[in-house]
Amino acid sequence: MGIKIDTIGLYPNKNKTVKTALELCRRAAEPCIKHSAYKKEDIGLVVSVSVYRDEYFCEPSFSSFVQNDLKINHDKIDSLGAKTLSLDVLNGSLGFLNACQLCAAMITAGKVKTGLIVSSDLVNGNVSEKGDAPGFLPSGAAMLIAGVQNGGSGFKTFHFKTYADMQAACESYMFHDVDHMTLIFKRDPAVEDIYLQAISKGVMEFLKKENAKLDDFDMIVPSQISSAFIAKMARTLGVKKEKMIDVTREGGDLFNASLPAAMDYIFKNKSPEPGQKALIINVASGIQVGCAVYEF
Amino acid sequence: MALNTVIESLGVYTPEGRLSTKELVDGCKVKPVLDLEELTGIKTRPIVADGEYAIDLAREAATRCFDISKYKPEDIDLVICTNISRYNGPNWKAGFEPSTAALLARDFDFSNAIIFDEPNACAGMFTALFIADAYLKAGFAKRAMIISGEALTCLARTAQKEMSAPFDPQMACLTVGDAGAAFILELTDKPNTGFHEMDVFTVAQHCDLCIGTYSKEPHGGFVMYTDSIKIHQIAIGMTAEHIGQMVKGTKWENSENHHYIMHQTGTRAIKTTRKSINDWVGKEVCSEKNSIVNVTERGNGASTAHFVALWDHIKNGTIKSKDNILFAVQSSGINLGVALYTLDDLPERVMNWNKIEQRDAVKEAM
Repeated sequence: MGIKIDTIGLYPNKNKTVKTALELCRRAAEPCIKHSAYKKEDIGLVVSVSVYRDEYFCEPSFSSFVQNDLKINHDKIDSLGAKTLSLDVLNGSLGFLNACQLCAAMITAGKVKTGLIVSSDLVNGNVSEKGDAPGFLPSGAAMLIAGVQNGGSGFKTFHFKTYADMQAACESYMFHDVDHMTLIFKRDPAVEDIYLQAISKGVMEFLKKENAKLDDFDMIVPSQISSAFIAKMARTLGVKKEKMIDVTREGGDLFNASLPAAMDYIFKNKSPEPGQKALIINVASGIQVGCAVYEF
Repeated sequence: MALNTVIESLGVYTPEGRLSTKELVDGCKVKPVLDLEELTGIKTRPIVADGEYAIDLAREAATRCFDISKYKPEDIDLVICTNISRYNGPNWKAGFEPSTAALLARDFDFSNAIIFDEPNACAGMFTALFIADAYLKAGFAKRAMIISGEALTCLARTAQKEMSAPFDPQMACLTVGDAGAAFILELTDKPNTGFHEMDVFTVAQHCDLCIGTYSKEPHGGFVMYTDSIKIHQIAIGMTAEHIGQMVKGTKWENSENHHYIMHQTGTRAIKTTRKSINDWVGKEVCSEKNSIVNVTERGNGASTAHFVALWDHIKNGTIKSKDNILFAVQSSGINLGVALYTLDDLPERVMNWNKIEQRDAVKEAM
């Protein structure tokens, strides 16, 4: 069975009028579901990957709020018939790619027919001035993933690697600062170089494991940190800049919305031919590198 | 033939410190109107030492799990951390990035594993089990490890300061306990062993009945607001139906045949759930005898609760190799889950490890 992206919904929130993570999710997810071949009751899994959400709350899952807000099998009174499991996958900006694999596993194992992934990282609480700025753009993204019988296209292999020795390069946490709780972001000034070092190692290992080379891929889908970062990444990997999908915006990292934004751009603007392949390369705190192949 | 998922190893760590319900209630600025110990049956619960945090509980549990396992960290290809608590340092430090799973990769060689956090309230470990089962059956992983470290008594400390009404939404914070749990999953080709059935889903229209976040008060810390009556009413009623649908007309209708491990929120809640299940099925499938209860000494360990209960009752000899277990999960969200499980020789291996641990402790003391 192939595991394909059925639809993508984006809400870039360019004028920053949307102030809550839940509303960002809704604005991205509603068109995603509307344009899909599936009905709401077919969605067996809702996965939120937002690390930064309204009120920074930690219980229940943010996805349960999303499920309720979108009215996806939310009002069950028994265990019979169509139902939905909501859960959060939290892993910095690698969460979206983790969630794609999770949906693929759940669909392949026959536990669900489709999975909806949402992201809406947004900081609407206190941020400490003792640290760095959050650095990412608050935007909403949603992706509906489904199984298809043709088996030829969709997500192929996934590969994840953690470089714990580089972990100090970036962190964020809440703490009590004198008389209030606040969120702090700490990034090594050289964090992008550290990311590139990890990417270089992770990608080489992936290619070796898959007996592949970068020339085998028609497009590279990187983390949408900045155009400068993507250009540096192209140089580090030794690929032409034109091969890199760059949908970055001024003012910050697309964070967990990177993958859906880039894939949406490919579907709408690149008219990918059947058999063409994209290599997804995401990097995140940890330091972690995730690679995946998507065949069109 | 479809293979079942089996718990290859289990590790639990509970801190040595104990905090009684009486001490907790005595420390409240405004005391609950109800006798909390009488209502919940909770006499005491483990509490972290000064300088001990959620990550430490998780690490200790994972270490014990590897002690009992035949596998090493580098053999694990999926790691899911499910702790709600991210209380990991002084001044109420609660980590957002890196994930707990990534933090643990400093202590264990998970460098080649798929790692992420999947907190899902008290259903976290159970939900991760459901997910891991999919990874194993889809061939995406051969061995999965689920880890949780719940440092939750910090919620009780904040509630002591903030509760302002005799029946306060923070009262449930006085029931929690600290613990770490970890287990390793793999597929088994023994058809009579492992998970035979499992199901979990979310009734999201009730998502706002229990909210955990940070305190807005000058003293800081973490808070949890719970509509205890409503969440129990809904969760217990739906759990009875969920279990009933799964066991009615099967061998699991025989109450002598298995143990029930339900979410450990309080003895009265467990008793009410038991009655509701039996009423739904129309016979006694869940008896006082086959219900596992450890909340009296452990408190509510949130995502770790079922696996701490399993560990405790393996160690006290109640649960033995080849026994059957029905896991029933309820959590805020509201998440509801049921799983039917047959143990392999895990209890024997836990007991053997326990003997070695005790012998080493005696040697050290000498």
